[in-house]
Amino acid sequence: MSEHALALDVGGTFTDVILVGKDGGLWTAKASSVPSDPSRGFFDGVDKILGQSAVPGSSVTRLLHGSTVATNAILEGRSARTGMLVTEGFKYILEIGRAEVPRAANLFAWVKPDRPVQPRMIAEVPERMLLDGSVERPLDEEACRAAVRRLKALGVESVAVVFLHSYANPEHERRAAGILREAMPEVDISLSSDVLPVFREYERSMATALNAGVQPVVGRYIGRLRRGMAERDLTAPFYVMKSNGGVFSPEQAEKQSIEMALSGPAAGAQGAAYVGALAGAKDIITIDIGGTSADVCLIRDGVPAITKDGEIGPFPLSIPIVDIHTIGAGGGSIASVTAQGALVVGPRSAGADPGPACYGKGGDEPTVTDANLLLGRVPPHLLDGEMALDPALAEKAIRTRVAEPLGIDTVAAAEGILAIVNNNMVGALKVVSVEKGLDPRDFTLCAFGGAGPMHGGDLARQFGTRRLLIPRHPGILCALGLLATDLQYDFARTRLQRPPNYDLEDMAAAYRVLRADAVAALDAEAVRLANRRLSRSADLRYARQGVEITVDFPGDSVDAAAVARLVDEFHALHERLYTFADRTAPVEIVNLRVTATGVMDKIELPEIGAVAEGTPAPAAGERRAHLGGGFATVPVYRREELLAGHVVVGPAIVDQLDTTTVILAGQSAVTDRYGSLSITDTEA
Amino acid sequence: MTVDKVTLEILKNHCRAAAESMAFTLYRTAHSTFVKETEDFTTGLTTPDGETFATPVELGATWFVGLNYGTVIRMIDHYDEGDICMTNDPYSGHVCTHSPDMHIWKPVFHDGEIVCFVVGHIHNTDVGGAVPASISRTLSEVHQEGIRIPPAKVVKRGEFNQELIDVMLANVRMPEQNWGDLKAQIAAMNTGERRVHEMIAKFGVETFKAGIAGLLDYAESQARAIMATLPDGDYFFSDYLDEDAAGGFPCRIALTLRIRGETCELDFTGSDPQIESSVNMPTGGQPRHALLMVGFVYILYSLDPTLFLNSGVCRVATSVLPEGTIVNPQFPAAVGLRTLSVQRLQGVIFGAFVQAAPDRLPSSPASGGPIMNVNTIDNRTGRRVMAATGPITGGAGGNPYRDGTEGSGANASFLKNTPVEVNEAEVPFKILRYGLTLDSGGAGKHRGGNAIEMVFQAHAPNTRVTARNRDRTRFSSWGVLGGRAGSHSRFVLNPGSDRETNLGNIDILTIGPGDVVHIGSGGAGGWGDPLEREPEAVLRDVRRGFVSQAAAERDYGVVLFDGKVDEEATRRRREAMAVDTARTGGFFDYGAQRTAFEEVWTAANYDALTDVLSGLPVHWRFFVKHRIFEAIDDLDRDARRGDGSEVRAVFARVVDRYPQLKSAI
Repeated sequence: MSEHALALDVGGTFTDVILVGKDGGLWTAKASSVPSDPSRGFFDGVDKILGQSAVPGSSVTRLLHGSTVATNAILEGRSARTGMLVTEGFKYILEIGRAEVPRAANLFAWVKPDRPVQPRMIAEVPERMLLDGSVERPLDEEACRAAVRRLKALGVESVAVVFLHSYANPEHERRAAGILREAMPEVDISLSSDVLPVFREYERSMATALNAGVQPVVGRYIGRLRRGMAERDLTAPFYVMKSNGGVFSPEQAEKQSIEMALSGPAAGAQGAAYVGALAGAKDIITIDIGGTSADVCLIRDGVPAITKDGEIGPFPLSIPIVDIHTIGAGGGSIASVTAQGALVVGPRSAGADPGPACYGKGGDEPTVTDANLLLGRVPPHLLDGEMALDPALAEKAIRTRVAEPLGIDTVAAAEGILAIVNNNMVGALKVVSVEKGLDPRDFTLCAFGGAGPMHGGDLARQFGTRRLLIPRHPGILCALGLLATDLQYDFARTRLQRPPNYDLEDMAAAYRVLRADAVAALDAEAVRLANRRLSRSADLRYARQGVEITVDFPGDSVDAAAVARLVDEFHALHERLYTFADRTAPVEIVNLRVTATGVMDKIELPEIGAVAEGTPAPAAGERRAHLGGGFATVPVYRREELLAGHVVVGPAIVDQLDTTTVILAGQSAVTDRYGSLSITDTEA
Repeated sequence: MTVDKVTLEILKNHCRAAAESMAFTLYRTAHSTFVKETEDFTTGLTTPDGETFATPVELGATWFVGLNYGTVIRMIDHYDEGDICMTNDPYSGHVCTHSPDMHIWKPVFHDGEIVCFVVGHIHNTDVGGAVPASISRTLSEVHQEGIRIPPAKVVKRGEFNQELIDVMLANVRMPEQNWGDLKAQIAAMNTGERRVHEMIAKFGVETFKAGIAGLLDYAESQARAIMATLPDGDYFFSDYLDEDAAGGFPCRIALTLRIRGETCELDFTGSDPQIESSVNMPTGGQPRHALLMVGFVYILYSLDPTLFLNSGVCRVATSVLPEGTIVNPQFPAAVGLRTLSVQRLQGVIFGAFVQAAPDRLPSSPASGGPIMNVNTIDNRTGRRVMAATGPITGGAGGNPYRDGTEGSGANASFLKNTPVEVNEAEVPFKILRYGLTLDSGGAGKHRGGNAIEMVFQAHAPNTRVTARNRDRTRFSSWGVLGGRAGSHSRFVLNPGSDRETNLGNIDILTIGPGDVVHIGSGGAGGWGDPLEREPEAVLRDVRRGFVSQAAAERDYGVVLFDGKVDEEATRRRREAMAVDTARTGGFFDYGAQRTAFEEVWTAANYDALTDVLSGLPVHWRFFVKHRIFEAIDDLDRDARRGDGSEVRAVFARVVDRYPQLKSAI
């Protein structure tokens, strides 16, 4: 049997599965997720695709997995019972936070989200480091033991240790870990000097506390996966998706569990970057439209944008993650008319249950999907007839909840719902591009997710991109993205350096440590030397600025010339991002970073069959649909019948198992070798 | 024409996005760290008359939806396409409210006609004047607060007015920053103009014009619906700043709220005379001035969070602002630190409205904590270092639904704190504690938020600590419906030592090596009777270290034993407390010091004070107020009647003592 790569992306509703063989085989499957035990959805998916493909587990040579286990544990408050050890005098760091009231919040009524660890579960320990890593007050081990006993009495399953300035010297945290292990060998331990060894104690505390909370959950989950895989003779190396767009080993995932927390959208962005690259697009804006939300990401030169100011739910998460802008607009977004007669769509969502009115599961509020159905954009059956939609229920919901209150007809109401939700999504596309000084015309829009292809045509036109890309499998692009990932580890240390006294030796020493950590991580995965990539970067800022910019550190050594180039590059980047540079102002070097990449041997997507370039695609049928300008009979195509070179001229609809692509009048779509539709405006 | 609802909704989103886009541009291109860190700026779109119809929600000072640029727009007699105007003069049109705020506006033309203005402001780090950063409580005239530019064109038909710019830059301490920030503002205006043109291209100019009128009307109709849910009536409320001058007397802000149907009037008669420091609020007597409307908009939004925010909501309110008072000072009173009085003003507006809707609004947020700077010497380099060490903030008031947020919200504004690790990297000093103050939030069914405190130690001689906006060491944040007032703010030197000194409300302090300073905000007020608080919630607070076991018993009647609620003892204690009618003073709990103060300064006495002072020329009022307060303080207890007569008698003696006053009357 040939080599195969298997990828599973477990989402809230579905588990998406894709299997690719080196011999050109490609299978996809969807299984229902089981929120109470996600490993069941996982193995249902595994069994389904192995059965379908008749590929034995033993010939799977690589297994990749995107999981929401950590995400859901945090968002749904199902993290493990977590305790915390902190420096005496600073028990309330987590509770106070940065006093970060959202700008849109009512200052008088805003309620701070509950912290992942309550003050009661936090014990103070006498010890103190200074910012240069020197010990000002030695760790009081007796007091530390007493604090550990208090946590033990509270029944903790996991403990976070966060001492001030531990990024500069982890010694006290490590000693406390030793004391914890003596007293409670069974609990998980997260040290802030491991999880996020950079300054700013609140952000570090939050990352460490969240990590501690999900560690036992992720550990149990991975244990179940290991057992299930053994039962199925799946012995392939197994990797887990991280929020930074890479993957890591399950052993790492058990320690740095928090790095999985925002991996879902990251996999989608990687999938888009992958199919984009196959289609010759390097600069892409992606929009993944699901049931309740739309995720937007900027990809430049084939690489998804990374941020260190991410959030998970209400909490800041300062580890490197793929920069996703999310808005509450999706197929399930509810349309309603306010008391004063305004039509609003979202962010309230009907979700999967009861779902849109047309699902017939008791939802009586109209949603975006109902509007798409009423306008004929969606066929009255999904999943090849496995799931019937009821147009009458959609019509009734829109008529009674929108059309009648506004005094307009139902078609106009449905058009209005789509116009408003599209407008909201275009706003999100602009936030990641226009508001950062980028021109939409320089980008390809990649629309995916269950609802992406329905809205992509309108979005591309309103947003002003020249090209719209709809991947061959828009509903499982996250799973596809898993196949395109590499091992990626980020290491960072705070080493505050102020001009003119940049301490080159100190920086070089710090880089040596970071590099050793990076090499150790790649060694642990037995990555071949040829596949290793190490890159250095540093976070810089003008003195007194509260945020830093990450700049690539030039060359291999740390000398005055390299630092001068680094600072020059900072000025240039600052100018590009913020329109100006202050070349006379002192520049501080704050954090040093090393990113280790272990390039994986990938199995490429197989090409589909081809016809002569420009051949009109054969229509499979037709239906009445309103694609702008009124109802008309439009041709309907089957996605799986489209071959490379086929052209579809709008107005037209392309149906496939789990989604529908709308091609507007004036647009035409060309199918490429990998089955992606490349849609351009022929009128513009 | 009227605009259909779908188009109106889309236009609304486009308008908001345009304002947001202006804010993004400004934020991205502004030069000063201050702008980036505090986001003290606004952007917006106004009608040709100056009514704001769109503001950002994500970025900047997001709640100035009531800004009306009409007065300054009209002070320029002619606009050409490509003009941009600016002013930072608090006494020209009263759009600007202190000199660091540079306001800017640009007409947007379509076919030769002005269809709207794009507007905005930025808080400059410095605009010259007597002190760096241009603001100090000690200043008494606006002339000391930096250069003032009355409404003028900074760009004429697309060309810079270089002479004006040169004059401005010659008068400020960091001209490159001001110039960089001004360019950012201009870039924001141009972004806004472009967005308006795109909207007109998309919707058509008639739909755009009718649409913005529709958006204002829509917001107004929402505000009317909210007001209609409040019972008609007159609601009086007042609160005080601890001091009207360093070591001075209390300064009162008084409000009579008159709710009539869908509208209301805010009458500030009874507020104290303007004061001889920079805490005055320059409203120009405008009945819908933005400084008043911020608090009012928060009220409406608290009552209905679906409210679409634009200045249409302000049409349902009007106000009375007597001239020569702290809420409407006469030129040239200093105004730089109006932040402090605006905080109190917002609280007063809440105090009036909460009487009309006690089951829907919170009690008083905390205040009194400072924005701090530490200026010291690095022992290793010998260099002087100065850095802002961040705000010390209190919590939000208890509200009808749950406890007030700890340590942030309301008067703490949107300011972020500075991490301990950053502070220790910026300033050579050591932080010994940074946390929440035990028992600082007012007790209540829903407790007031606890305050933040910081304890730090200086390492070098001549370390100067500046603590701006300090207050509430005397009067507390009030509680409602049986909820108790919050704790006082604290500023103590060397606490717990034999050199302990209570620093009161002072805002500048010089300390030396080894000195320890404890600084803390006041706590917020509680909501509802503490005896109605679930004993388990009290226990949770004790476990979290928010409430002491003693306070649990004293304030909540909850007796804890062995880490658990002693239910029987709690029941007995609560029964005993419930019969003590003096336990809760009434609708409001103001704290002991205000209660004591108002035994002397009764409502009638204060009315008499307001009455006699309002008959005086403005420049005499502050002086005479002080003489009256001194005389009342000196009165024998049995000479006090509290009916206003002693104030009038004392006033007569003051008039006798100062013959100059007679000629001025």
